[in-house]
Amino acid sequence: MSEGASRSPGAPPVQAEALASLLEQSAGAVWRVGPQGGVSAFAAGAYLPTGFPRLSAALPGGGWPVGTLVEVLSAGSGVGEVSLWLPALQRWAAGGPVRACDDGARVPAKPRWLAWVRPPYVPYGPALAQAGVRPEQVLWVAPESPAEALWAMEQALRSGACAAVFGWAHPADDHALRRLKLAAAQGGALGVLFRPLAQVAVASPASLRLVLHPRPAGGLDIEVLKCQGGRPGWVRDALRHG
Amino acid sequence: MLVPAGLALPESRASSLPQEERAAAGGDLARGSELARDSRQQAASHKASSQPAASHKASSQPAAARAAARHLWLAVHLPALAIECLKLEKSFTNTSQDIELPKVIVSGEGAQCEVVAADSAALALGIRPGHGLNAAYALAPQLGVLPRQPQREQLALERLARLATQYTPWVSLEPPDALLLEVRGSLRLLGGTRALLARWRRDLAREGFTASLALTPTPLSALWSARAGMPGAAVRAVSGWGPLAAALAPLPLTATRWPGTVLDRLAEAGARQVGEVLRLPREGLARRYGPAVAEQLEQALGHRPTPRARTTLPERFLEALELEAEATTVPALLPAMDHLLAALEAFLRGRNAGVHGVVLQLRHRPSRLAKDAGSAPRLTTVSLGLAAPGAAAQRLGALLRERLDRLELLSPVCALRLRSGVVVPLPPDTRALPGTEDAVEAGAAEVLLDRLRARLGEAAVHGLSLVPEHRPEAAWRRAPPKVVGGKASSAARKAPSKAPDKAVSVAEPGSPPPAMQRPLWLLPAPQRLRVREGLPWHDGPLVSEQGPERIESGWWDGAEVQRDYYTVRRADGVRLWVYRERGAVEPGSWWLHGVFG
Repeated sequence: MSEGASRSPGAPPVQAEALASLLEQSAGAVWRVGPQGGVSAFAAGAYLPTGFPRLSAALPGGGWPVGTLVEVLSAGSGVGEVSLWLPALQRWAAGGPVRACDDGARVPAKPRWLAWVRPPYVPYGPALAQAGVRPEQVLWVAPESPAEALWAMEQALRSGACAAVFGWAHPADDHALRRLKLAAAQGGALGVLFRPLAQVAVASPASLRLVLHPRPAGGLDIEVLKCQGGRPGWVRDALRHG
Repeated sequence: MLVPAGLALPESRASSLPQEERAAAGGDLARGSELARDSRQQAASHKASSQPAASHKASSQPAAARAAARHLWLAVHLPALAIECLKLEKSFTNTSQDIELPKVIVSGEGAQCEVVAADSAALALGIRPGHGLNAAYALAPQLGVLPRQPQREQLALERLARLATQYTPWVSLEPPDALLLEVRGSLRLLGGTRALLARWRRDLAREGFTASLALTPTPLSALWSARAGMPGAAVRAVSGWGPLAAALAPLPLTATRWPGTVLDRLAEAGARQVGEVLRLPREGLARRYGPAVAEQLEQALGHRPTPRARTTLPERFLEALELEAEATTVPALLPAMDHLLAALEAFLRGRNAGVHGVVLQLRHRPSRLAKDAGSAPRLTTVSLGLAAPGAAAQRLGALLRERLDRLELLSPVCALRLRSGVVVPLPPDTRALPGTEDAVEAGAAEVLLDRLRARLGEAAVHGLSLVPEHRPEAAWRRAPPKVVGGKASSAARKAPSKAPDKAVSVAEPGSPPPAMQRPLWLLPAPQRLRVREGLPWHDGPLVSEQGPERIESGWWDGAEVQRDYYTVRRADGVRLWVYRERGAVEPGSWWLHGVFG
């Protein structure tokens, strides 16, 4: 007994290799728990299908990057800046992980929170329900100052209890953004920070930076301002199917 | 004829004790006679021995009971508990003369108000428990009068019971003012009766309680003896069955605390002491004075068992730490706080328990400046609640830090005190197989909730839930955040479809199906829109994309709405949810209610 227990950390290499290859084959079906019991192991390199084919095609990995920070820049609320995320969240919040290659059939039933930190208005439950996101999964955090909002976002991202964290915190300096990015990686969460359009000119450590341009006739053009592992560019009428 | 039980103590070991204790510990004890030294009790003792009936009853016990008693009960009666539990050292000083007022504790209302306990100053003035409040005022016009606080009495009793558990595992609370300890099992360990009583006396004195003690083989006889005794007087100790009845005989019947009507009738029959009741025929006793009287006598004599529960007390952690150097900043406090938390964790781990919350108190140095003395608080209290019981010092420390970070120390801190909330057993720490269970995340969710609430306040953290309602502003509400992975959410999801009959939605023929797309952002209250050329205007003209959706609902609760909702689009691509009022107030006005985020 005791001998076996003492040897287990250094298992024979042959077995370790076999295990590793097995895990590789069944990627997505097996959850790997990190050393702290967190969910960081699958977070790295995981992507969420956006639900919009044109947009997914323009993103590296074919979807939203999980475990990092995404910035959304827009002129204001009301251009569909949040609804952009709902198709992806629908499945992600209900289970995850979902790889781009995954058909979505093997999603573990482990719901997590969707945290909304300092949203500009009331997150409207019936609209979420219409989009297939369960309102009970919403964690609505209403700190008073942007600084508190950044802190709350960091906590929520790092906790491992949130599938995604949406935050409205302006101003946010480079240091704060780096912290958010790190926290998202630790917690395996999707971190999205909504910022005003003026920030286009300011460099940011976020892995993905998007600028939303509403089209005059309806729909949305998305400018990929920065994209780690991919190329910047424009996605015309990004939300149109087909 | 009377076979005394053990408890004989070597005389030599008793020599170092004070006179009174020596009496308790000496050979007298072995012989099972009264040990009381004061004249009143000696007189009573003499009287008892002149009553052969009592010893006759004792000798008629069954053979099994005549052997050494299996139990030995130490009764601790606290006659002044009501006042001692309040610890009133300084609070009642008469400021003008700086002389301490005599204090009494009272219970009852109006004319029924009577003194239940008095401090030494009041006793010296002649005030006794049982006096009416007016009588007390007549004796001492300047009197501090406090109401009785049963809760604090109970807490004090529990505190003493906790102390007692170091001597015996079998401690029984006898509210309102006594404890019972079964000490037979631990006598040898503690070095005998003498040592036990000496230690108990010391403990009680340190805690500031006066008590009268008695040691007998049955719980009831011990209680009666203790109640009859005087605090500080010699311990009444009876170790064997034989002398028990004789020892009980001289006790006044009031010590039994039988109902007043029973005592009155017994007095009419000429019985004022236990011995006199023992002489009455037993059958008649039950018939005339109720079965309880007869039963209690039997129990006191050990003819019948007296079940006494072992009290298990809710445990709490309380530890204080004086700082070596006064701390003027929060970071300087943290090492001491961590030390206390580590002690708490060890305490909890040893019991496989967790706490629902902790209270950290910072004691400030008293200000040297007289003018500040009143304003600066002596204590700063930081209390922390947890979503789920926890024990980890690291987690508690992180949460307390959030609180302390926002604290401004007005004066230097000289000591810390950490008190636990209720200690609850933790479920065994089971790790689920990865991916199969939600144990890991459920824990993470609680930690996150605690942390957010600790820093931002309870009111800043919500969840959402749907309400089956057609009025848009009433179709949702704030809810406590659901700890993710719970099963409750599926029920809530079904709720909206369950009660469609409550609201009436009138949709015009040809309009889109009732649920037009809802906006992700709802304005806290509808915002009036300007109108230009008959059309709504919001930083530009608005073009209708969808609508109208007519919502008429809520006539039954006075918040009726009659509105036509439209999804509109501004030139810059922003989509809004607006409505035209159709009700009686300002019909035709336009309002902004939501934003399609």
